[in-house]
Amino acid sequence: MIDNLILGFQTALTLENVLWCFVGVLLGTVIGLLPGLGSTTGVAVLLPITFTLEPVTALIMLAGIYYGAQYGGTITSVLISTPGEAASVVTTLDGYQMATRGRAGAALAISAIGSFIAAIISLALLIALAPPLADVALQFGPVEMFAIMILGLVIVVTFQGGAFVRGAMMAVAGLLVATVGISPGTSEERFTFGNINLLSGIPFVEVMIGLFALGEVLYQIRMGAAKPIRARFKDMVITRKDVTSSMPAILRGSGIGFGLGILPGAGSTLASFMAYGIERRVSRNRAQFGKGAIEGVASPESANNAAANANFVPTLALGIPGGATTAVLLGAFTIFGLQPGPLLFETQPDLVWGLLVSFFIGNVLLLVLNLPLAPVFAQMLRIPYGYLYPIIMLTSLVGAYSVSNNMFSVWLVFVFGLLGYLLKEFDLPSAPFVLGLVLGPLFEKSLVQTSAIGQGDLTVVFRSPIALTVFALAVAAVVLPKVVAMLRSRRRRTKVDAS
Amino acid sequence: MKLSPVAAKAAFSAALAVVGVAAAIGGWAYGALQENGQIGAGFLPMVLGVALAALAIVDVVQTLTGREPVDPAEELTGVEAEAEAAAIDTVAEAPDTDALGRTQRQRNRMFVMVIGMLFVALLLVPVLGLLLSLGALIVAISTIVERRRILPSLLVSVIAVGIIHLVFAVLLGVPMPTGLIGFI
Repeated sequence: MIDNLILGFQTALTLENVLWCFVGVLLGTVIGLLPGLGSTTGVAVLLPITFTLEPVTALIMLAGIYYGAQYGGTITSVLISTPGEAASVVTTLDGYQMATRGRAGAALAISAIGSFIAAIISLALLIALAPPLADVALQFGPVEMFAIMILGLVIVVTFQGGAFVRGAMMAVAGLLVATVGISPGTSEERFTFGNINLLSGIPFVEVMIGLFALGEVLYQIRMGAAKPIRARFKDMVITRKDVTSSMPAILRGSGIGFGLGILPGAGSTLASFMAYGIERRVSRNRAQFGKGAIEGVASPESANNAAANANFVPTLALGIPGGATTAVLLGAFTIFGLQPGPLLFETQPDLVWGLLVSFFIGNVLLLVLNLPLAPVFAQMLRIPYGYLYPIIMLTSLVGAYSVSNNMFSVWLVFVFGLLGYLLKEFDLPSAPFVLGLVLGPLFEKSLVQTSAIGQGDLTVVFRSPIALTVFALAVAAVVLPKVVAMLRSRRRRTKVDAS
Repeated sequence: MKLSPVAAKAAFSAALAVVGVAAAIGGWAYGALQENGQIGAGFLPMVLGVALAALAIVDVVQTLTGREPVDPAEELTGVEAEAEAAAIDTVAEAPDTDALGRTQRQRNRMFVMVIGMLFVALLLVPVLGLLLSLGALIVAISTIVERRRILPSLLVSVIAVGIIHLVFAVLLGVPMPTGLIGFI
């Protein structure tokens, strides 16, 4: 472990990697706070720029955008009550209330501090947990991997995607889109309609840029603009009382965030909701929740950062992304010729450990950047969106073109941009679609191999104890929310009856 | 004829059901099983197509009968509805008007115009080239849709296209389509 950490520091602390890490977290912060942009969009749009970099440097920068955007997303939640990221939705509850009472700076400061502490705690846990999990995963065959992918899809459908039927519909649609191209089992063409551009499948980066960049821009145009609250430097002063009263919330948020973030498919959104829900029950200051309680900002912000780091446990150790952004990062791995999964720890230790250590460096940079400079970043909210979104469109379309130097990619972005808009308009979650699309090829490969192992009999999956356990977890993921909701409504009814 | 939001939602899910049926038929045509009994090229598309159609039909029924399902995150924590309400509060003074005073009707028109302009800009790429087409798109959106002054719009467009040209064409060496004009 120590040797690996030293190797990680040696890789991450080169001048080039520190510089790109800085660029990543800076861009991430800006992307996170700009309306209509989130970490998934940022990573997808900027992915083509990293093609000329070394894989480790590129991944360090892209990961920097991911967790940098978690910091940036908070700024919009607090100042305009418009979360840049789904994971920051809960922060609007108390963050915006604090801002309306002239405490925007304190809300931003505590979220930066909480995010930093959560990142460091979760990073230590990530470093401790990912390698042993990868060792266990080395024992997994196609049957077990098939089961784990089902679990990942079920969890993302259950917890990231709003209603279950709609989430499932989107996951299935993503898997279906991934079947376009050459069949992995028989090498036959499917759904290509004679178009050679489709032989290698629907390209993933273009789909992401369309769904998340163009789709979001179109949605924002219809939604309209909100007016930001001004945050000043002098407001950034945070009292010792603020920090001490928030510390238990930060620690609880970190634990909840990490625990949920390591589940394949469960992302930081559920973590932030869960952390806020629990904090509202256990906090000493619970009466102030919803009216500007600082713990109501500290807890979800710590949780979403911890979950963002924890998402890398299934991504790196199993090759199953934790959420939409890690799905794009997973795609980045494959573009760089790397197969995320248990073998990565053995074949590319410098890359894996360099990437993990870069999270530490990135979070230090983010704290230094965000604590004093949040009001400066907040000024970016004053850039008229009317100038901003055409530039986002320009960057997205040129970025998509540069993936394969082909106008087909640009038209794909247009088509998937319209689809992305429709998904948002009709409350259809995009995270399950993305996970389905990313996992599709691997999912079908595992299915083909499972079919070969069982000589056509797919019930072979039920003969593996590991696969059975994983399926049981998947069933629990579907049933648990229903049971909890039932218990809660029963308790509420009992309370009403008693009063 | 104007569709209500519920009808539009149901229509979209119904369209997905049609896609599912088409995929299932396509999968069947590719062959679900091979001669040795193992799964064939059409197995997954067929299964997924059937699943998509079934789920989409359930969604259509739920949408039309008004049985909007609850988000599991809300079921578990009970905070989602409050968060949404807080987010909506920012525009509560005039729900139809945004911070720039634009009504929903105006924003709908802007939305259609932006899609139309983007479509035309992409059609013009073989003539103007990618960067010039998109540069013209920025000017067109800023001035016509956003009603901004022409000079700042031109300036923003030139700077943005210049930076993108520098990053992609010069630094990354991406061969941009320059169209019939052959400029950048």
